[in-house]
Amino acid sequence: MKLRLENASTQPIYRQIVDQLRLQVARGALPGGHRLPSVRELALELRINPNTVARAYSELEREGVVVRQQGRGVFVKEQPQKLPAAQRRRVLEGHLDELLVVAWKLGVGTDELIERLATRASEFFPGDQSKEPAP
Amino acid sequence: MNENAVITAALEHHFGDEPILRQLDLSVPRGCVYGLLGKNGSGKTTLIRLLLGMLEPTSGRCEVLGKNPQHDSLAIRSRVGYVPQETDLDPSMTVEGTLRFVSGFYPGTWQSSRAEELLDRFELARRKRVAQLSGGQRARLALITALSFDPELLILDEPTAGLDALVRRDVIETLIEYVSAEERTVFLCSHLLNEVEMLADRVGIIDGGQMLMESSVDRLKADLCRVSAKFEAPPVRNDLHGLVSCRHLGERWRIAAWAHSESEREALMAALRRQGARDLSLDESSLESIFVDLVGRHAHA
Repeated sequence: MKLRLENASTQPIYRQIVDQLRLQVARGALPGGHRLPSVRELALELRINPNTVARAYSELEREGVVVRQQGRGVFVKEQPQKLPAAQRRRVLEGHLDELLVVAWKLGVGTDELIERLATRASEFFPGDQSKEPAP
Repeated sequence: MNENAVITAALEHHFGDEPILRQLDLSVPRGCVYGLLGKNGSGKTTLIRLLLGMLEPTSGRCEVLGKNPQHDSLAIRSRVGYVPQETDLDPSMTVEGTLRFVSGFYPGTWQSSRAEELLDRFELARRKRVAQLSGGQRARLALITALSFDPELLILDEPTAGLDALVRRDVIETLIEYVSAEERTVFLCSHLLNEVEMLADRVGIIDGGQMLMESSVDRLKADLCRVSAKFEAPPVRNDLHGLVSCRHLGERWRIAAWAHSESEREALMAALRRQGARDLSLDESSLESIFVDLVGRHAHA
């Protein structure tokens, strides 16, 4: 698990930790069941305030990325089995609507949006075929 | 139990006719790491001395762990670890003699095992005299004396100033371990803003004995908008709402202004564009750059 924190960033440090860990989980670099370092361990490693690490872990727990097991530590949550197709479509549509609203506000057309999405997806899951949808 | 480890309200301290601290309000929540920032001579050390009951305030009030330092100085000192800027250890004593001497002030709370563990970690020779120790070794010994009775609050005045990278690492790691425990509070003054930025939850910036602002580090970074741009004519300051600083650097102007919401931020950008800003860009926002904007260009933290 590698994290790179930047002092000069306008992003708060806890945010940087949340974003980077969420990304690593999404990419599969941190698999379900993987134990994260304790708050104290990570604070010492990054030389930052333990409160900041605790805050980042709480946020990830709230988002359902990790689970805290009393006395055992913080673990990457097993990603749930695939939802039924109809439900999957419904959840995804909500997020797509949000994206479309943002694109519309910015004056980004549908073609450009689709192109951007494809480019971003290939950056996001570099060379990782397992993330491709099953045929 | 009081939620704040330290509170001051309208605290004033004058040295003769000269005000050193003026109407100072400050609050340090329990469990937090608080960084007090200010130029040399801004009143940081005076404030610490007031908190420890070593000085009397001219007026106003302060409270440390729910007690008044002027009346309960001893009770406070038994629960507060203090590492002064210049260590006041007796040079003729040995390392172990120093610890034995200091332990006498903390009957019932001194933890020899904790002191031993830190001695080993810092590789301090027990038989050496304080006079033979390097600056870094003295700083480590001072930290051991401040931590070995498991204080509720640790006050550090420039804990890493003038120390090399290895000693700084020891000090910082020890601080991180200390605050990992429940409800342990740290109040520190430091010139090393990068360290404060990584360690502190909350910062206070004082200048000329007055509190300029107090905020969480995250809030401070989010609220102070820092941009740079080119202008044909110098920017009109009155037109820029919440302006903190506006400086000419090379061919660009650097502008810092408070913007507490997205709409305030957009209003600032619009005002800059109206004034003919070209090549407008958002600047980095490290605590150090923010400090310089707030306290002035001649500031050295």
